[in-house]
Amino acid sequence: MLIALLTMLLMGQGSGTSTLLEDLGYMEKAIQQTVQDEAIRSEALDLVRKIRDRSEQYNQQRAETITLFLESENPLAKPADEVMEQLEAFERETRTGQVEMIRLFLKLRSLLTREQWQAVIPPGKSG
Amino acid sequence: MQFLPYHLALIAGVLLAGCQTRLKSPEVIADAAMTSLNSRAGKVVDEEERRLVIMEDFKRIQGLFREFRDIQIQHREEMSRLLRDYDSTEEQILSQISLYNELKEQKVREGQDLLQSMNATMKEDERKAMETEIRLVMKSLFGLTSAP
Repeated sequence: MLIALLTMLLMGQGSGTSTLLEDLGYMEKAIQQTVQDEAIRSEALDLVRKIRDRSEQYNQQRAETITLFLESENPLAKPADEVMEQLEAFERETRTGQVEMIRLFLKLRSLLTREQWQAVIPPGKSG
Repeated sequence: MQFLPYHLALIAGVLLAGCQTRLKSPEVIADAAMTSLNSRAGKVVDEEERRLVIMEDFKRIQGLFREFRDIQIQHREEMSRLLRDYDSTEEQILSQISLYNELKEQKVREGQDLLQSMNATMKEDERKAMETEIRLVMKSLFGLTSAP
């Protein structure tokens, strides 16, 4: 279990979009204030919602997988094949999710002008 | 199983870690968790020689988490730069993620080896004594959220 959880703790770590995901509210507000074209604004807000939904889906899946591992008998032993398969499936979906998330961000960016993107993207912060 | 100082300290540590999940990164929490577990292992394993081996393994795992934390900080900085850059390409971004995934996999393999080594060093009753603590510590990691 501990091996599985360690694996998951590291493998489940994100694509690097987390700093932006923490500020989706900021992005929504900035889109509403910055994007004048109603159709583009609506599409951009829809993309932000999709990003949020995808992220929540991922987090739920991650928590469910960890819950399963917590029931394992020997916390230090190598997980059973069944658990390893679940881990691998989780990792595959994580990678698919990474690409999906990046493409959603890029699609959002493509809707906006350079100036709008600078206004919409949250201020940079470390970590 | 003895209850009292170790358990109280561990529970306090777990609660504290739980409260801090919004402030600390998973690696920092894992680092704290490994310190708690290492301390517990030191009490559970009664033979000096094996205790030293196990505690050394825990220290290596902590070191591994710290190395991973550094890798992740660099990755986040690079991703932050690429995502903010209006001219960055999908290829550049996915290439960075791919590099990060490779480094991550390497650390996972190292961690798995260390944990298996620890597993082999511990006796059955010692592993049992560690289970509750491990579950408590790992549950403290539950609240963590991250992006895929």
